[in-house]
Amino acid sequence: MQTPKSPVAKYVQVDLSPARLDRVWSRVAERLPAQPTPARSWFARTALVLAVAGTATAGIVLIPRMASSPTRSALHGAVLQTATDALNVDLEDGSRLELSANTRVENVDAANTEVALRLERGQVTCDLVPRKDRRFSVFAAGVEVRVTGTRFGVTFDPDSQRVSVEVQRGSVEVLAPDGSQPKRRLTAGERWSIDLRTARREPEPATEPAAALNSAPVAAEAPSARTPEPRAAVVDPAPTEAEAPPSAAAWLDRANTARRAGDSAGAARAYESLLAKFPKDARAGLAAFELGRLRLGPLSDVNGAAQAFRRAIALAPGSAFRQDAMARLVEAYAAAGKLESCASAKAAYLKDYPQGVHAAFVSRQCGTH
Amino acid sequence: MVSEPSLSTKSGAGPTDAALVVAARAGESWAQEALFVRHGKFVLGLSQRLLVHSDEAEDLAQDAFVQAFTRLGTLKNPQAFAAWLGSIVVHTAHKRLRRRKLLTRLGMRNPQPIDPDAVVSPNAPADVAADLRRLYAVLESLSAEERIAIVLRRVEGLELTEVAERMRLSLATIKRRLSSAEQRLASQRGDF
Repeated sequence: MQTPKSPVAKYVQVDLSPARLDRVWSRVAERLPAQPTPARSWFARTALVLAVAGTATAGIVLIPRMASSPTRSALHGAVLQTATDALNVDLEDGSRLELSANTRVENVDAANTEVALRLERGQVTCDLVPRKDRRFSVFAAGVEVRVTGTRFGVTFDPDSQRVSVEVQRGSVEVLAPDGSQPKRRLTAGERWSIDLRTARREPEPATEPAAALNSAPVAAEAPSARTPEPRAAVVDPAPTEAEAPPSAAAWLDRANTARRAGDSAGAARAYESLLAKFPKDARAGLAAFELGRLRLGPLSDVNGAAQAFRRAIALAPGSAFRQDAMARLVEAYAAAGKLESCASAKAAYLKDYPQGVHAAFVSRQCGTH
Repeated sequence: MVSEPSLSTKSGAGPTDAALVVAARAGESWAQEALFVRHGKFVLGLSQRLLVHSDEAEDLAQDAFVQAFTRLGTLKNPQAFAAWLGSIVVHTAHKRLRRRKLLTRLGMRNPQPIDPDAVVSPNAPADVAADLRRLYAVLESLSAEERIAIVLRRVEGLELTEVAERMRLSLATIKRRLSSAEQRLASQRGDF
């Protein structure tokens, strides 16, 4: 990020809101020619991304070598890292890695049938297209999350030594840090977390699946005559009602905070809660619009996005974002392959906004011009 | 517009601009978006301080990014992306301002006066606010080169050599443009 040298510049009023920047980016993206997609495998593309990010500070560019003959040695240790901004990495097979702000992920192993990432801090959400021939793992402080195809997030806070896993679709297996305990399977909607400090200090008996996870890596003390402590690892189905904000404004604030922090899934849940609990509130239309944007973008749920945009248009017919919502509805239908709906939405947009800012983009959608 | 390195480079966190430029050149659209996320505020801010009117500033910011992404192959030093991008903003603003003046002169565009009070932040200290109001009050009467030079120097805080570099003009020319603009400013002193 750039900042002017002179303090005078900051006293000139400029709207740098996310909405305005998003609008500018949308128009830039519309005007850019389609990027040629090199014919590479999922692995090669993953390798390319990681290698570029990890080696640039050394001034080494691995792209040509990566594209032609990726090797494990060339990739080992490559990293993806974010500072204050989130970063999404789209992969050729439709999979996506989403790094929240202040996240560092290292590629510790890469082969055609096995990819392993080590989360050193922050949060990475992996939305993976199922592949039976590939084993994909994320390691966080010794905890292994193993998956073949799903959407899940792993968070690791080095300060609190807490690792959290949340599954949004499909299922994953979670293995204890030392790998010697029975694995735990998490399914959609389940959340699991472990406090490694507690786990190391106070291992639980390995008689229950959840407890087994806690008995990981180092048993510093003999588990003899001690008062049992709360488990370090827990499975939470969802945020409790007691935590829920009491008003639409608070839900919106929670959603926006999560979105700015790069927690797309958390933001979407908050927008959904606002819509469910306060469907007639004045903020509901905006919540539906933002939910649609998240589903269309980082959450890769095009059908859900279309539903949200329809709702946004219905809830806030006179809103400032109506035009954007109508254009994005077209985009969502196009992405979902629903050509009839796409054509209908396209006609509606062009009728209402024949000179609209998205008119050129909308005109190119739905397979017809 | 400044040549300050990217935040990620200074802190050691995040892909460098060079890495993102290399990836963008290789056809990675995510890298383009990452560059926009990193530099969008800078470009939009500079655009608005140069052109003032919001719609024009947005158009300028778009044009600058589109030009930058379509001409990435000509960037010799990828790590200098920010300075290069700033130079594109300035150059594109210059063309827009010249075109705007021509259209106005031909009667094909209505003049759009600047409201200095709408430009200056209410949080600005009194002396800074007065200087800014005076500057933006005369901005529309300056030539395109005078306007850009004075904004880069007085608002963005660039050194003379940096102003010359961004505007692709000689130092002597910059000094003449600034002198002319300053004279116009001096004639307004006391009006605010």
